[in-house]
Amino acid sequence: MELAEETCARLARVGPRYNAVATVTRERALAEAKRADAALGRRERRPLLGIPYGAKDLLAAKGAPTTWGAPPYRDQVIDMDATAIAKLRRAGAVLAAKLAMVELAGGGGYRYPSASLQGPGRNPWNTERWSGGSSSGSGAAVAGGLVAYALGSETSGSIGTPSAYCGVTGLRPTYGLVSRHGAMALSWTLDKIGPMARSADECAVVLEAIAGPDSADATASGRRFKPLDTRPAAAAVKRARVAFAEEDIEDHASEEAKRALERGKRARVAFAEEDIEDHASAEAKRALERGLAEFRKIAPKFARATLPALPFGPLVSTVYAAEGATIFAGLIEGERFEELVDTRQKAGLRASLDIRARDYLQAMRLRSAVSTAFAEMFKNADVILSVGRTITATPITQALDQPGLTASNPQQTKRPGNTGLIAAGNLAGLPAIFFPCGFGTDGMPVGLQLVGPPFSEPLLVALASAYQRATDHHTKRPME
Amino acid sequence: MKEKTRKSESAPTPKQEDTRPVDDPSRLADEADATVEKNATELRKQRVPIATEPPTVYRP
Repeated sequence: MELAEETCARLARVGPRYNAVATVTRERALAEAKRADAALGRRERRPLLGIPYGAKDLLAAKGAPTTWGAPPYRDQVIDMDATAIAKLRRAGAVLAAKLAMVELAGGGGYRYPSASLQGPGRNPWNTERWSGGSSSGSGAAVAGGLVAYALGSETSGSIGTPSAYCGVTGLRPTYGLVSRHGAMALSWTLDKIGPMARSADECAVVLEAIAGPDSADATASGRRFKPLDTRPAAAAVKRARVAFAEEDIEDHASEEAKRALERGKRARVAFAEEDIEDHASAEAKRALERGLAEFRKIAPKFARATLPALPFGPLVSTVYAAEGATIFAGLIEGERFEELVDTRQKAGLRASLDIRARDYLQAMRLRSAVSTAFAEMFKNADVILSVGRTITATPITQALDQPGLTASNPQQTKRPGNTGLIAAGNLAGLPAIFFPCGFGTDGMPVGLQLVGPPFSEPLLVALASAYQRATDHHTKRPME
Repeated sequence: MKEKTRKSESAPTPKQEDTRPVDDPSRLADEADATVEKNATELRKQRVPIATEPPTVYRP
């Protein structure tokens, strides 16, 4: 009870500093904490028992508004628990807050971080910088120590970006691993719900609780998640073949981010020193640049591999824009549409109503080509390593559509490397883990991401966990 | 429901500098329409060999 009380008080006191909180669910938290205390009194031992958390405000939770971060829905109450929240309740967790988000998860393409009912997500590392979107509050609340962990969601980058910007660990599950029942739909074929926490191990505990079958979600795979035990995890880390494209950092990282990302590569090398065996595939025969040679010394097995040249940005935005505009057609054509905050978001949603069937279907058929390309890459690599974001968190007043800020549309003059990995990985429904690897010259967090084949979460967690045991980036905390 | 005019699928007209403020709603509307068209053009460039295309469009 004390932990729940203190967490709710802290959320109410500090949350507004980051615009991180939509609603503090104090009454519910105390009731769940009381049940957890009773269970602890019966000597029940479950990892999440009594631990307060926050959930992105696109997940329905009994007794609290569910605003989807959007003014037209500010008074919406959905009197049910989303499956992910119900599963956490059954695991003994304590819902302490609904967390702020970009309105409608940003499906129309917003221009400014202020595109939220709660205002711009402020980064605990520097409140004049953005916390990232669309799971803005989830990233800020974990980084700022308001909650131990949070639920976020990703359509294309909405767990990865706030994780990278806020210096927390985020896990985007395979499409269908976590039920989306009770979650706002932006894109039926892209949306995923996943945990954000301080470490990969903590993400794993949460994912184990929320993954699994759900008769209320026809797209749920029915698969469960269980992290590898210590010994198999160590063996998997040694065995893992890692693909990397050096240009992701050399050609695309900002100066602020570059130094920390380079350090991150070296640190990753350090954790894998036990196994230097090099099983580079045909793709890896291309000359590797100087920094990569150092990485190869310590990565368990290393292969150069890059995504094929496909228009990942146009692909993913055509899919979520067409689906999102269909889902929100009633809003777009209704009286409350103008209440949305971001003018560009409104323009994008309106325009998306006119995406032609042939273009949506072309995008969907090309997703098969993306999946095939990944399958080819995964013949020679177990995971793909890339940067979380190539830049550090941007100022909260800066427009998000400035050139160079969109990773899925790399500049044509540069080698694309795997900078389209967020869009591509989402198109193929692949899991990813985002984890901090240091700080840029501007003092803001920088992170890496690992992407694996469908349902490879146990390996992704094992690799990120090994990295985090060898480094301390994930233990750093912002000053209050 | 209001019927919208189908946009031309022909080649885009030469670009002229837009003098409207960057956050002007009418400018944003035009840019959003242009983005939809640009994305469509990119996607249509991708050729899929229909003789060997897998039988399903997409399965997550």
